[in-house]
Amino acid sequence: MTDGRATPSLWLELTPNCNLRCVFCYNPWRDGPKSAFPSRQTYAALQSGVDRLLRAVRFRYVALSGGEPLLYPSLMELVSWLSDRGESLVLTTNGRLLSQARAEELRDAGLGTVQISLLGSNSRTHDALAGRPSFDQALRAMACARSAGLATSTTFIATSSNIRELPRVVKLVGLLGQTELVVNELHPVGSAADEMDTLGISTRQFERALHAARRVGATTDVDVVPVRAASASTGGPVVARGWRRWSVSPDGCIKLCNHSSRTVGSLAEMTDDQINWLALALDEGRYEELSRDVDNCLCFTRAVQTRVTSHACAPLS
Amino acid sequence: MLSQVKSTQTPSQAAHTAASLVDDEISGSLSPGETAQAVHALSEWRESLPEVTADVGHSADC
Repeated sequence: MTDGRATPSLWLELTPNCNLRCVFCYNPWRDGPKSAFPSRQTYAALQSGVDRLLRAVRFRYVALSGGEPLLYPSLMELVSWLSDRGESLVLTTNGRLLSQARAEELRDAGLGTVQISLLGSNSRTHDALAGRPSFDQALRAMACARSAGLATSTTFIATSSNIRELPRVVKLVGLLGQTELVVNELHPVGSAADEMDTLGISTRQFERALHAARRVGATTDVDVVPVRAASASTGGPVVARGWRRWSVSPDGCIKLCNHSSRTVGSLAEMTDDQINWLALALDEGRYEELSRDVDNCLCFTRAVQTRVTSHACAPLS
Repeated sequence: MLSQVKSTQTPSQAAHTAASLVDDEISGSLSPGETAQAVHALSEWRESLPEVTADVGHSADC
């Protein structure tokens, strides 16, 4: 890896299926009929493709995502296989299906970290944004994950309907033994693009809530981590980070961001030389050559504009 | 609402207790004694949690 360039992460979108209907979901297939969902590669194909990627690129961690990754039938097998290879693993989930037994099973298989979404300090707010009742399950999942000895992180998507509750969310996750709350600014991608008028907030609102949240975090040992995105399109200040996220879609295509609706190509159809060329181009910061293959990623756009190659971006998880 | 508070809490009980403590409609109706009992129960639960060694802080990258 070139000096000064951050090691990228790999995000595996294991399934397009989800058991929630978040109003701001970035997945482009979310609102379409099931026939419009991307096809799903077999576990054997996923394993084969990821094996080739891991041989070509060193990743800081592998995130298991979706849709909802706990709906993926071969999840446990995948966790064991990746863990045996020495990969650091993160599960990004809404928590609805994370029982104590399953958390322990995942821990034993080699999972290190669980990242759970929390969208409000009470069920009214959270469930309205999630589209289905899930607040109690998200909290229970946090408690189960910590009880199982897994590291946990909580993500919060800041919207007009939940931003006032942010300090209480910090208090809530602190009571449950969480040590990190990632606060994402709403990213105008996917379903959120149609909801910005009603759900979007100003940079000032975001900053004010963040200030209050950090004050609570200082007394509850919760690290409040802001991630900026939408301010780029509204003229506000942007925390600019370099690109550093590979993704593999449920149908086995490589993407240069999990938010992108464009793909570089099918992993199964790419030769090892093509994968190595891609890895080298990214490592050398030749983003312009790849800019037609990615959209909806502020990090990549920023990287093209400034050739920023380390720290600071604006991901939504 | 906090009838489930016990000195030894299951994860589900801990989640319920924590949610109750920050829900304005519920926490506003709690006596100081009930609040103190709930906070204490959660504190004991947190102290019983195993330590974690995995790397966190992964979220804020791209």
